[in-house]
Amino acid sequence: MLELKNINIQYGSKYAVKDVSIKLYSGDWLVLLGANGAGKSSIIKALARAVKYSGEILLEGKNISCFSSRQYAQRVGVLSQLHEKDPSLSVSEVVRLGRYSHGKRLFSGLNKIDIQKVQQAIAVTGLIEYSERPMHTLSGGERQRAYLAQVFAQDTDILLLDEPVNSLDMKYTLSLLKAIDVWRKERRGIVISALHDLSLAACFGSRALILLNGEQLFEGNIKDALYSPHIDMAYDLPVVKTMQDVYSFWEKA
Amino acid sequence: MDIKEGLSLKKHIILIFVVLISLFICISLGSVPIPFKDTVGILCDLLLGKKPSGMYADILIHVRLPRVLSVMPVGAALSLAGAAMQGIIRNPLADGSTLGTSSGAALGAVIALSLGVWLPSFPFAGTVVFAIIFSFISLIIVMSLAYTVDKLLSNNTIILMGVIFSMFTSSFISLIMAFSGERLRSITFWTMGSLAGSNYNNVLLLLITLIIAGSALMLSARELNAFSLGEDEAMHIGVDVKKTKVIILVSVSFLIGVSVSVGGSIGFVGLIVPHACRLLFGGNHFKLLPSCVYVGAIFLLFMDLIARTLVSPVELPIGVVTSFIGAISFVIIYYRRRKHAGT
Repeated sequence: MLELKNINIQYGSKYAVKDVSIKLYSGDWLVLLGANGAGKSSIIKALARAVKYSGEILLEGKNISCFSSRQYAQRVGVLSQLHEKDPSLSVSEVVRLGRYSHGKRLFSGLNKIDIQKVQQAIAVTGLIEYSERPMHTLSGGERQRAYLAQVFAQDTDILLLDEPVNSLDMKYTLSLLKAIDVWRKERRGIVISALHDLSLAACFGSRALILLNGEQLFEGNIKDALYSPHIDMAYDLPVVKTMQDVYSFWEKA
Repeated sequence: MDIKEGLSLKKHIILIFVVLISLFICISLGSVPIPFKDTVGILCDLLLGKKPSGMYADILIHVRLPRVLSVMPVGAALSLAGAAMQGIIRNPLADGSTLGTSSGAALGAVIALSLGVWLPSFPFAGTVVFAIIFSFISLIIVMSLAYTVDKLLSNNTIILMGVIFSMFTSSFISLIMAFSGERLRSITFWTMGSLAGSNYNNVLLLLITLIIAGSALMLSARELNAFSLGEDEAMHIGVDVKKTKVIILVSVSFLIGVSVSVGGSIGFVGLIVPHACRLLFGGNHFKLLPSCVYVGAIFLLFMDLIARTLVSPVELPIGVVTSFIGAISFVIIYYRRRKHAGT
């Protein structure tokens, strides 16, 4: 179980997130909804321990600041946006790094369990034929799959997604999110995602948190969220009607 | 799936063999060439514990051998330091010379000399310690300046900061030189580097540093691999980012500080060698770091040979030779990177 209690995040004097509280249980996929700058990424970063926050985040009943870097990485994995620079490593080398937090000794190589997890992760993400290729020879979608395989190899219960499908085309977006959904169902894991695309949020999410200027407007079931007045407030737009207008084009066709 | 991380035993053996051959060539050649047969004879005598005699033996034991044995660890140390810095800031153009670390270390050594800092029975300790401290401070200054200006630490920013810092420290060196006159060795030693006149004490100091700081870096190979994904990403997979940075920056400062205090600032070695090794052995630090030790030693041996023999009997500072090749490599790497980024 993961619990956020009265989380505030400040950049200078400006509040990016104000008094957000939510409890998450195994199998939940929480989508953070809101316009640009609403505080979605800040919440993900706080959960990844990458920004300072006030309030409490409890994992397994313990404050997350009590975990060491390795201990925390064994429990929480992060998949971020694709970045420009790529490591001069092969796909399997990148995936193997996912096992970092599970090694204990100084010279620790990979043991049998590590190798098994790495091979599984590579297979699940459909990267077997790419496994020895250098990262920079892959397309954006393939690279992002390699990073997903790394997070799977990390073998965590919680997965944070910070706009991971930005810059991916539709095919890779769907295959990536489907793979994550399968993982969530099989493992009963928790996924917390910031996604820009509302249809994707509706397809994959189970719960939603709507944010406006860092404040929590709504928290609950994803379907309820989409039909609540809060979503229109958050995006300053009649969301459902706009979506229907967009999709009516396809219906006519 | 290949799960072995480091270099294969075969590659280790081949590289050691090439190092030994290079060493043999470099002690035989020079302004007074020693026939290979005599070199073998003298080396055999040395290994068997006999005391070889004659002019060739004198040159070999008192001049060539200590010099060559200093050149190798300096080459290895500078290359290792370059590879580690490139790993931690994810920029293949980082090197002691481009980041201003070497000139910072040289400034430290010059200050120690001009103040007359030394320890009894260990006369060059003052310069060594000052060079290490100053190289560490320079690294911190340049990295934090660059980080303040540009959080992504892009090529332009970090190199610009390094160059500016180098100019700044060089002007200080010149100033101190101008005031201290005859007390210091010629200015070219600190600005262009030279390993002429190295002795066995230097060799010992270099080897100890290389073993300790090199091991610390080797033990951080996995963390360096993680850093190549990005600093945040390294943290996400469980790397203690601060601790790793401290270990690496301290090790790098020791490697560069000691190398500079023995050989002056020899530019671009840490740029050329890791680049070549990355092309030959890949970017995995488990392979990159050990290969840098071997290739760095081999590279600097031949650079030193060129410096000694190109316009013999006059000797060029070794930094002139490495900078000549280094500047060209810098342009090539920069161009390739730009081209790669553009696609």
